[in-house]
Amino acid sequence: MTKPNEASALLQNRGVQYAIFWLVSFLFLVNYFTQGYDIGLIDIVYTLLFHISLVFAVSINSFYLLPNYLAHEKYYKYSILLSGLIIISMWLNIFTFQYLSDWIFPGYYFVSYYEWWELLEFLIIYVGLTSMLEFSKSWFREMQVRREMAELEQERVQTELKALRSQINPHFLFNSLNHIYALSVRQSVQTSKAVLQLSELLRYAIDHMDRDRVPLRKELEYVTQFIEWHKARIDHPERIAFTCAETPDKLQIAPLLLVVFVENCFKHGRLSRIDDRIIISVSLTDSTLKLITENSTDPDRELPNESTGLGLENVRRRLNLLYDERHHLDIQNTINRYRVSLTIELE
Amino acid sequence: MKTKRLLRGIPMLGLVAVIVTGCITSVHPLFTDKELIFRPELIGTWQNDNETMVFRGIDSTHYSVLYVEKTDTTELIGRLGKLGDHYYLDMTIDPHDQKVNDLLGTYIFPVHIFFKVSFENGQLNMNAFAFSSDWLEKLIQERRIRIKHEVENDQVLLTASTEELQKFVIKYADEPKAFDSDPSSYKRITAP
Repeated sequence: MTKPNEASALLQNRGVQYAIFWLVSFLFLVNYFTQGYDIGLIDIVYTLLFHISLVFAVSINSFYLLPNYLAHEKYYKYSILLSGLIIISMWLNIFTFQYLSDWIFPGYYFVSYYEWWELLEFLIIYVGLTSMLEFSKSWFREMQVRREMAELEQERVQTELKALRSQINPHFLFNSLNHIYALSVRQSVQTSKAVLQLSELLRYAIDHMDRDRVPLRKELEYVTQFIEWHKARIDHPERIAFTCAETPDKLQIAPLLLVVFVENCFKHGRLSRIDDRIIISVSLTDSTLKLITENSTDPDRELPNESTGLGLENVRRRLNLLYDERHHLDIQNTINRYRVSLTIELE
Repeated sequence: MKTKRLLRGIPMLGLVAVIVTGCITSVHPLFTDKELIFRPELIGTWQNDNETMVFRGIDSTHYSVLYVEKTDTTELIGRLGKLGDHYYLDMTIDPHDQKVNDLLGTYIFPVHIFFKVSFENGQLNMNAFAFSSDWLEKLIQERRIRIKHEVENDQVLLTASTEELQKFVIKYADEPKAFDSDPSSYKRITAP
């Protein structure tokens, strides 16, 4: 027994489609041509002979003219060739009943009764109908290709996102280990606490890095821990101002997105002078999240090298992929201030 | 509608059968005005052993034909035309024939009979080949021919249009079985 998907594949076969079309055409025309109360052998023979010119016209049009001329937008050539094909097919129909039928079926007496304009009507209907079927099949094929391309694009985006997310952890880990290394060299009592904090931060990152979305509340808890971790390693934690709005449970955000901007504050921010500040603010209006980070910078300090600038570039790319039309990122880099303003419309 | 018309024609079938037994009759004439020709040498009296036909010109395309067989006379309208390489004579009852009108009145539907005709000896002899009813009826009965028709009381009445009749006649003009092999030969005994 043929399964539904096998039947569907069978119906998509062009040969099967045309076989069905000609079968329907034969059944229709044999009833149309029948002279008498029931269908006789002569009606079947006549209908078969009549189909010679129809099959000729439709086949040439569908398998040669449409794909080679109309599909390549050669409208003028197509019109001329189609007109020629119609004329030849009309002649073929007359020839079939005037001569061919006598050779193939000598016991039967056929005459080409149809006038040229009636044959023209038949041919236009058949060529037109099969052309429309070809157009509809092309349309469905195009839709399928578009769908496949969209799926491929989505797959590509997912792969890229995964790759971008996987680049965050080593980067963060590198900076963190440098800090712990510095604590351990000094044999600081803060070393074990720093390792514990780092392990919690890494756990969150590892647990959530493969997810498309995480609860905003969890993500902000992570950001808070991240800031606390940094505050623990600097001399003037009071120069860091962090405010975070209350967040409802329902809002979701892409993981490890905000922390990149926070990390950059600590990476490139200067806190050595008394008026140096790092200001981090997270606010929420309905479902619109606004993150502002601002830090003092040292004009004499070297610009971030390629490896350290990677995190910001990654997050830009992720924002474009995940919140294409739903985010706004504004970065102002003046002589001694670096300010980031990020707005995201969350789900 | 078709049946009613056919029933109206039935009395005519008997009438035209007087002229040539075994002829095929048709609802439609064999010619449109385009194919009609007028040959003045046809006018006159034509005769064989049993029949006499008197042709008179009515206008440039029509002949009045008085058909006489023994004591029976019938007035017919004759039209001569050329299809392909052959001449054909289309005969039908004269609707103004008083005798026919008195006999059958409004029940008459004039059907047509056709002959392939050839002239010999400087138009002095005319051979009329009637379409073979045996051949056509057999093909129709065996369903080996496609031509519009009706059958009533074993009598075939062609209902094909003039254009269809012409195509059929042209294609099978040289088919030996399509015409009676023994033509009715007439000799012109008086010229106009």
